[in-house]
Amino acid sequence: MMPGTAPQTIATDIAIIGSGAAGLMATIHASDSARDLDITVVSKGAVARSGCSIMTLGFNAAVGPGDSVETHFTDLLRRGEFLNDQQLAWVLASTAPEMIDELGRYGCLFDRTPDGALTVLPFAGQSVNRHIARREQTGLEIMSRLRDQVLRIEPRLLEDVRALDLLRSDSGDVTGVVLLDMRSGKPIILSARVVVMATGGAATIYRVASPAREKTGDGLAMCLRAGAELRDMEMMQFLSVGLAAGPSRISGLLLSEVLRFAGGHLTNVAGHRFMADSAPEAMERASLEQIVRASYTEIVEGRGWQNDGVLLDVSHLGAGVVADRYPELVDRSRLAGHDLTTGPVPVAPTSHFQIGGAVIDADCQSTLPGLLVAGEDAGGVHGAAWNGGNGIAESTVFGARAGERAARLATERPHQDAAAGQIADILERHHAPLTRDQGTVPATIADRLKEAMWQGAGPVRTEAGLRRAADTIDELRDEAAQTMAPALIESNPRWHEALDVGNQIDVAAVVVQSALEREETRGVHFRDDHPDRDDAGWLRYVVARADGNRLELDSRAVALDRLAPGREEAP
Amino acid sequence: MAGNKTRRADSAATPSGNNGFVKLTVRRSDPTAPAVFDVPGAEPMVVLDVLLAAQQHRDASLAFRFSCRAGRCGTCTVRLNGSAVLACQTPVAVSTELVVEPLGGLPVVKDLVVDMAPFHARWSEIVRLVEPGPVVTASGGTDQTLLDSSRECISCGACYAACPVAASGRAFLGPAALARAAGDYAGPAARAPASVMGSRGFTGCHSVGACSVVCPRDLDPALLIRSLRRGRRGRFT
Ligand SMILES: Cc1cc2nc3c(=O)[nH]c(=O)nc-3n(C[C@H](O)[C@H](O)[C@H](O)COP(=O)(O)OP(=O)(O)OC[C@H]3O[C@@H](n4cnc5c(N)ncnc54)[C@H](O)[C@@H]3O)c2cc1C
Ligand code: SF4
Ligand code: FES
Repeated sequence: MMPGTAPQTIATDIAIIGSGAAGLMATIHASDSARDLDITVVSKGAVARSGCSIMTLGFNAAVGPGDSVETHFTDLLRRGEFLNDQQLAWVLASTAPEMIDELGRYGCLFDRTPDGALTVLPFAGQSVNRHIARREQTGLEIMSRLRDQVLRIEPRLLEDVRALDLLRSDSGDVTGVVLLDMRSGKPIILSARVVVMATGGAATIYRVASPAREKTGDGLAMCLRAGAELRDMEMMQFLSVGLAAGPSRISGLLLSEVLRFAGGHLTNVAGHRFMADSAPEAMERASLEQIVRASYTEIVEGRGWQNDGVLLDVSHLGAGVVADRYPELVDRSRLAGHDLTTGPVPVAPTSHFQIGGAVIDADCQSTLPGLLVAGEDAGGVHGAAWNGGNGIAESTVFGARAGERAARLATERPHQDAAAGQIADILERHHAPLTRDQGTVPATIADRLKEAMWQGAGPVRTEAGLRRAADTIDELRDEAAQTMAPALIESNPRWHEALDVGNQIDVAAVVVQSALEREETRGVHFRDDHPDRDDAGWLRYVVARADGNRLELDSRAVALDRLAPGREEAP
Repeated sequence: MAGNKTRRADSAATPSGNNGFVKLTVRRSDPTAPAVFDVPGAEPMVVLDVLLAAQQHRDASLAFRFSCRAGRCGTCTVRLNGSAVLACQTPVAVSTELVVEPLGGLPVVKDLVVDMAPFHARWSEIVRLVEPGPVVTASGGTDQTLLDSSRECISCGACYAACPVAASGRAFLGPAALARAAGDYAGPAARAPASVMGSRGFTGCHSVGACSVVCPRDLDPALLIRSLRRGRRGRFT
């Protein structure tokens, strides 16, 4: 803390960190449960206009012909290769249809057939059509109407304010959170009966990544530093179609996996359709993980376009057809200096969704009293691989449950004091970059971190590669402890980059250590040195917990209470 | 689909003659801060990249906002050579000159960051008047364009900044909020409160149409306002 300034203190009943679908659903449901609650929403970026919920294209819910909760649940487990927490997966599948109705009550429009039924679209990884969309604007539609609903509730909205760290009492309860107003540079101490963490994970820790800029793992790092358990952190979902646009910030923006199924060809720089080597039958229609691994291998072995991407080509479908069917993707390809209608576009595996996260129960209770976690920050729902449409469904379903649970807890839990010295420690640590007159540049550290993660902990992993990544992370951690930003507190982007990279390093370290632990291949986690799935040894999930500076890893057996491999008929 | 307009920065800008570089001039809130930057050009490059390069390599305190870089969040809106654009969706050719300013009509927080509070306050006022309702519509219905323009707003604020009535400091609710209201009143629950119809609302609109010209999403708030004023309140379904 800057000497001599007493930080502003706010007491609230419920502190909600994040304004994506999970954060806003939590706000609405907490308020619906008990009108008189004082609710504070903290958002690092614009409310409902930061994070990734706004970019989503489809929402999975079992409402279509031939679909059922059981089928959705079974698809979740097959896709997740049985690593899922089955209770959480069941909650997702069984509550998603209600969520679609609820969003409708808030005024969300979804595409319908001429007779008024919801249109359900096919999607790879689903046995039945269940992808619900609003033209190409699903996330915008949902987030705009959720924001309207939140504006009607009038909670305290702290926009452009970031959470720095959780506060804990002497007995270990979470008692609030230390915030930093990014515009004024002033800290705020938010004392809360309950904290809901919903910051959307850390999928930004790779060289090519699709999420919004705020998602630097702040929530997961805060949970970790406070002592909460995280699970499945080795599981990071990549998509195969991130724009490879070199150093441009548009790198990682998505084209669509649909292009492969529409007849798109993937070639390396020599013009070879490389899927012929690993999947000669399926070719570009192979599974997402096969495509991601093959593309990754082409690029890291030097057969990529400008060492950056492989080439995705749909132009043989005809320029008119491509322009008609995929107007937004065509625009995006042109932004990157290429043209989907007339030729190939470089794409690379892009880090997209953080599958792992905080250990929670079905009401989003984390392993720390007073802390609930929802949405992409939570783990367990998806198991070892994620499917498009289940992300926004998870955020709304579990955000709602977190809100209801928070409302109940708020009546039971008093405000408590943080353990002595904690606030000063947190503020001092976060202000450190401003106090140095020389030091390292945070963006450079972030670039090296992302490169190390791509090289060593990406879609294809080995023990040696993971150990190299771990060593680099250790070095970067030391350098990140010496970052410098101009000594100015108002709107200081470099300061925030320094805080971001600290969190990214904390999360990346857990990803790498968890990946070392899992000596088998499952879902998105591919160990080239352990290429087979090992159900006898590894129907277990990896749990990580920080004890001071030490990371403790452990694995626990998955409770196969509804379905098990080989016993895959619906429960 | 209402995609994002991509205006190439080079069509509006003049070649700088400084080969391989982009000359960036930024309106800074501190008049003594450096305002002109030569940024090495790259392919591909968008206005956001130029701003980021200036911030990383020239002046770490240069402030601007962005989040999604996909044209969805509306937070990167700036004025480029006089017209509002999304910085993340506007390509830049090397050897051009860019003049980048904050959106007009809104208080400047710092450099290119404006305070969107007046815009949001008006939007909030509207949504508190409008009851959310179950709206069922067939996709591809008759008034689809009209309907979309009320729903696909990314709250970038460009229309508000461009509207001379909103900028005049009066309490006019502004294009985006009125378009939002028009969309709902045109739906099943069509009962517009007086404040929305009065001089702060639809009758306050001078039909300048600047909003629809600048909207980076090609939405048409002016059309919605006009149609509501004419009393055209048919259901969309
Ligand atoms: C390009 C893209 C497309 C996608 N498409 C789909 C799809 O079609 N279907 C699907 O199901 N899923 C999709 N996903 C995944 C989906 O977006 C996520 O599952 C979901 O949005 C997560 O919601 P959330 O509420 O947990 O987090 P987010 O919506 O990401 O929100 C995170 C929030 O936390 C805030 N925040 C971050 N750090 C802090 C901090 N320190 N303090 C305060 N606030 C903070 C951010 O500002 C933001 O408001 C997509 C993801 C991407 C990147
Ligand atoms: S109507 Fe268009 S210009 Fe106005 S805020 Fe919405 S997206 Fe921006
Ligand atoms: S960064 Fe979101 S619209 Fe440009």
